[in-house]
Amino acid sequence: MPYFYLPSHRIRKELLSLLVCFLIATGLNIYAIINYDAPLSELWTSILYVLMATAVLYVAWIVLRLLIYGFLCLIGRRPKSEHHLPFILHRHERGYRSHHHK
Amino acid sequence: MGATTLAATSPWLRTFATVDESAHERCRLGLIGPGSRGRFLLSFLAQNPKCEIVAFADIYQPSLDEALMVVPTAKTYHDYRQLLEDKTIDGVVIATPLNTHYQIARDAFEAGKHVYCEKAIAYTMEETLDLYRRHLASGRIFFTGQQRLFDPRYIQVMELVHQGVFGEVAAIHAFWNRNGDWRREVPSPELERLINWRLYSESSKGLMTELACHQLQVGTWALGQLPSRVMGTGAITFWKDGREVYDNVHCIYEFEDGKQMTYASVISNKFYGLEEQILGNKGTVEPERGKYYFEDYGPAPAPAFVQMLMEWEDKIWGANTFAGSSWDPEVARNNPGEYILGKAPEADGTSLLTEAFVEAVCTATQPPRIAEEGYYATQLCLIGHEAIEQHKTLPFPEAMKIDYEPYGTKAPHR
Repeated sequence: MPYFYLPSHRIRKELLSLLVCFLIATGLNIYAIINYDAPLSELWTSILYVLMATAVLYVAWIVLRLLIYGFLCLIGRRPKSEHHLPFILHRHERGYRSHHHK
Repeated sequence: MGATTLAATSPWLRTFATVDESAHERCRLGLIGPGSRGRFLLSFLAQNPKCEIVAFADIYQPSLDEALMVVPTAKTYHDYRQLLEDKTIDGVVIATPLNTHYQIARDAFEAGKHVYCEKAIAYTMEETLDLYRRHLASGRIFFTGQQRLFDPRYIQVMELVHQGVFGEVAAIHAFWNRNGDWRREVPSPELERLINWRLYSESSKGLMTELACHQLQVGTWALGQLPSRVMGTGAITFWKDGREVYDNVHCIYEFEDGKQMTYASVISNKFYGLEEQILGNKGTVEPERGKYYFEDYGPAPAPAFVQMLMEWEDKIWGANTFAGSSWDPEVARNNPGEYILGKAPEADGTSLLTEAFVEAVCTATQPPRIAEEGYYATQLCLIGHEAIEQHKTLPFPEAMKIDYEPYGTKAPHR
């Protein structure tokens, strides 16, 4: 049974990515409100759409990073750092622990 | 209805509000041409306590007989000139065939009578101008049969249009459709042209003078200006029964600022009936139906964020941007609208029009705009007819303009 562990700096990095995605989605909402002459209250009333867009952007960002990683592996240029890949266990990473094999 | 009440119903009858109540006044009127339209007017006049119908004139005895059934005490004449010789008569109501309006109204002004003349007021543009000038020169009252000017729902909706409630009005689509031959029963063949005068070019200009006259006036009233050009076509396409006037006419009136008013009349299909559709960018008015409709009716628009995503989707997948999505044809919206007066229309203003004429005669006061609106309504239908006849785009002749501030027109220097 694999054991996944995300070190705190990775969590911070992913949360930062998520925040950037949220800011982009909010920016798009503001742009749409101005562009379509919609009421400012849509900043709050459209929050669900913004959160959904945040999730979509974040997933897209993961996919993009996986593609880049896969491509680099394919051409034999394994990236020096794999920190950009979330949710993947890296045995050599600092903070890796396997309680089962202690 | 008293003068004050009457004034309250119509913005240009406020003139009467400054005049003392004329309840003690009573005017004496003669009716020239008590045919079907004449008797319709008579039905209102005969009930007006401030008016006494004292004489009828017509060359057709059955019309006189029917009028006498309403007012048995009235004198009858076969020659309208005899009626005009009666010095006790204050004014006349003219409801004869179009080609006779000019001579009768002219003689009436010369006899010092106040005149109510059914629309269109004359057979030619020159005659129309001459009658208007004679009205001014004589100082006599001049009313025309433009009853929509007195209809409360039109008055109400025009105020809203002019306030910009429906946004900028770019176009007006006026139409009057019927399904019928427009014929009256004729007791003997020699009376055909007399009774069915609307169908013959010597006495009528057909749909343009009989129907368009009402609706073109609504258009200029809404837009507050006079069209500068008109083009049109017409034909006899269905009722090929010996008539000489068209049963199918279409005209476009173009205004100086590019606004357009179309007029169409077909009498072989009545599905759409009659209407003057006033098209603003925020709403539409259908005064005949007595309703207005706002553009933003219906479910609330999607949030801006969703609209933006849909627009991106359209750009990516290539929606048909000029005609809407192919699966969503741009047919008329199912919008029930609102009644202008809160209820369905019950009358067309003819009652108020006749009351206003009686009040005007009693007080010897010509209300503003009435003669001028009638004048231009007639000129517009006549020039539309001319455009149809000539198959040309015709400018509105400068020589036919009169001093009329609401449309910004001035009579040429003479």
